[in-house]
Amino acid sequence: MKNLTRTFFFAVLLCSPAAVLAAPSAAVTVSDCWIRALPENLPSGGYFKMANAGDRSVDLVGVETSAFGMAMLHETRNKGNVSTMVMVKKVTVPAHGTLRFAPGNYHVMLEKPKKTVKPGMTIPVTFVFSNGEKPTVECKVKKPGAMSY
Amino acid sequence: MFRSASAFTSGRRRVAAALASGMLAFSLAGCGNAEPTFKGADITGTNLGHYMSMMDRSGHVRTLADYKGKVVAIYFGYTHCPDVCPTTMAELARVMHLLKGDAKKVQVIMISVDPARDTPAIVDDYVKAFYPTFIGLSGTAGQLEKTAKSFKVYYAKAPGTTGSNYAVSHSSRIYIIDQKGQARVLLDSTKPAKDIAHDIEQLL
Repeated sequence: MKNLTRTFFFAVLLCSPAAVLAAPSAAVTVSDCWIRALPENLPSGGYFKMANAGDRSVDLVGVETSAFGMAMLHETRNKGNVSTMVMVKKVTVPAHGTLRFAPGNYHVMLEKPKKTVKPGMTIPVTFVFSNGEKPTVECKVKKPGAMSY
Repeated sequence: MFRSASAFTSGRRRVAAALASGMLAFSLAGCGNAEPTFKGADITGTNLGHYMSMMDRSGHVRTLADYKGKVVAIYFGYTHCPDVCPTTMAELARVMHLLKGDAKKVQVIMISVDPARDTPAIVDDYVKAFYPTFIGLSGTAGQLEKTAKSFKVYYAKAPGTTGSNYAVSHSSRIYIIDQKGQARVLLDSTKPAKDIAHDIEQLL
């Protein structure tokens, strides 16, 4: 039995190295992360998809990246025809659900890049969740005209 | 003579009645096929943008008359806008790709609602990162005020933002101007590229 368990673990290790790197109880995953490159080091938007496999909702409460001086959770709100950018403290990913940060909606506002951000680069970004999980994801830098991952 | 005149008159009446019922059917249907039908709002005859006067990167004052002969798409935004403005510019770049060869008959212009930070050269460089023929205009606070009023565009510093790091709330719509310099269509900036391209094609 002990041997069988060991074999089983070995198989898991072989099959899914990513699962081993993540915390064993990881409920949230972040994928499809991309950042729009803009000229002159202007503030830019970061977009991604979050999935929550857990039974409870989880809040995204912040993002951390050493590539930018500032990274904030924002939402573009349209009232009538007027667009306003609003800072948000948290964004809830429902239990067994997904939530997408996408152009014209939720976005991470990335300001003051330490180095010029250019298409083709990848930038590690850490996502901070209310349940203590902090996955780090490589975000692709894409051209100004990009609309999705 | 009298009879034929009467026949003529009654004929005219019949035509008029047919026209009237046709018009009624037309208005009941909401939109007909004879006139160009737009995905956006038809603003023909409003003269929006008539008093536009903004500066280009060479310091020339630009009005709608300068772009006659092209269909013009105008958007008000600013370069320190991380989401909605680049998203709209990206969408307008897609419109140009959809229009293929007709893209050269179209001029996309972004007018800055943030003249304190955006010089004409900054806005122009910014929009050209999306598509090489796009033009960026800015100007003095007074020029912007007059131009925005002419387009009935709203802009204001977003509440809660301070110092040099402020955001600007602004009308996020695309104005389509025909080749004679007349405002024709108003589209929400969230409209997909194919809808914007469709409305531009109606005017080419």
